[in-house]
Amino acid sequence: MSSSTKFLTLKTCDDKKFVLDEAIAVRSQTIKNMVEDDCVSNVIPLPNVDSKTMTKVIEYWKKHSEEGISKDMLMDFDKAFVKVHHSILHALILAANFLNDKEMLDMMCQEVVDRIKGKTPEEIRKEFDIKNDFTPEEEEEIRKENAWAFE
Amino acid sequence: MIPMRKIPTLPQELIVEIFLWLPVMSLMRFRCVSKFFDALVLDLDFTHVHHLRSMTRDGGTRFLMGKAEDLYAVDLNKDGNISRWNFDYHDQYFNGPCVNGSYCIWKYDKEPVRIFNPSIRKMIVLPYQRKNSHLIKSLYYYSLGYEPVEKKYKVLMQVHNSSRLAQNFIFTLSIDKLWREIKDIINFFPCYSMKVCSIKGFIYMMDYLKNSIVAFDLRAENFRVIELGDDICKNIFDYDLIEVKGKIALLDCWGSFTGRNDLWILENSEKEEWKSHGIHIPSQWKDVEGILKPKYGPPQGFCDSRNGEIIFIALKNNILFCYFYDVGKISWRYLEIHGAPIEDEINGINMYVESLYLC
Repeated sequence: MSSSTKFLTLKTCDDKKFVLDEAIAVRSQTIKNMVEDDCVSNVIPLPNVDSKTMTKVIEYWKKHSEEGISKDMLMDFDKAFVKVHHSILHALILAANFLNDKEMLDMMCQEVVDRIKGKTPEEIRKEFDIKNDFTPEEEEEIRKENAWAFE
Repeated sequence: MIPMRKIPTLPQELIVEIFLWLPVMSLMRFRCVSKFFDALVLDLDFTHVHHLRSMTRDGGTRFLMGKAEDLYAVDLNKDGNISRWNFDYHDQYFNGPCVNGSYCIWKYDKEPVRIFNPSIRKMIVLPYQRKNSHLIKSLYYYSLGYEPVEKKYKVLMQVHNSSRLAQNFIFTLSIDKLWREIKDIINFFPCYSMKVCSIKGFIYMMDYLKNSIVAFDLRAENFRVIELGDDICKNIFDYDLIEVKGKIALLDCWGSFTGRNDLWILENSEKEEWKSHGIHIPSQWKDVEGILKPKYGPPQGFCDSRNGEIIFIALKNNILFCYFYDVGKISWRYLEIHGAPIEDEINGINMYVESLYLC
């Protein structure tokens, strides 16, 4: 098997290069499409991902590609993996979305869900940088209508 | 001090993706975030995908229990979080199945019918079919169904009075102002204890008199009779109507599971092709067989299905015992939820998957 192992070089937006087994890199649908369409020369540029984020992504991919790893071990790994700072979590979501790794994206989104489900609307606006375009009266009306959800 | 790392902003489509996994309570609160999110939560396509995800989401399936003015909703997971609220409608009957997270509520001898969505704690009242309905002794039966092609919710109303054949009426939610009579005449008498199932644009009902199943097509608005076939030798009374992976099925609910012919799945409704399925109870659970029998009826126990799993539920000493049978994988799993209300405090147990519909 090792004789047929192919390696790909990925280049992040801050010009760092990562050499990776193709079998692992194709966890990314984006990279897989590029490989299948034969438009891979030497280096695959990843203009939307920085090296710090890519290091985390590769850590995840490698763990999930390990042979003979148990479900429980993966669950423990995932649990620890998502316990990162807010800014890294968002960067990982953007990377998973760009790389089109559905499994990883779902897991990261799930972590955001767990973090935000108990928050207030004000905290949500801050979290996602959203502008409140309601008048105070309009907002009060929706609040009143759904008072039970604020208990 | 080290400066905070700049937090990357997520594009709107990813925020929507995240919102699709949120519990209904959070979404109702987040309607206040901005006009976009208020409209999002009310959007029918968002509502639909959110409901589908709730089927597999932790905490997306809940039990509804109640008595008099108190309603309890308990999460179907190991934490079993309980919310409790006041319900203004005293004589509550959660008749019929839960369809996309909503129930029909009515009294058998009175109009009108109400549609209740426990996830958003909202109820709407449908108009009377007859103005002076209290003057004529009639029996009413209602079933809620979802028609996925035109994305419409419809309520089927069956009225029986001593002098005439059953009349059938239909009401399309948020479109119709009045009940419309269905011309397709079918002489069948739905028993008020009967089980109804709504799947993929059809409402299925049991016809006890003719020992058959009646399917109501929500799009064409007509009836069709489905025969049980020669292989199913028992009376339809012995079965519970249940949905298994988008197909209608009959679950044998008397005696014990024999490992043969315990479940009949309607594989092909056009050809009336029924397939037999045996249910084996793991040997260590033999003593709980009583619990696994849905006919024991609420509040002690009942059964329902979700996502290809049949769920047998029983309540005893504040504990909800849940047995999940996966029909495809032929496997069982088991869950105990502690802290549920005691049997005396409730009239019955119902199960629902969270939904934003009717918001």
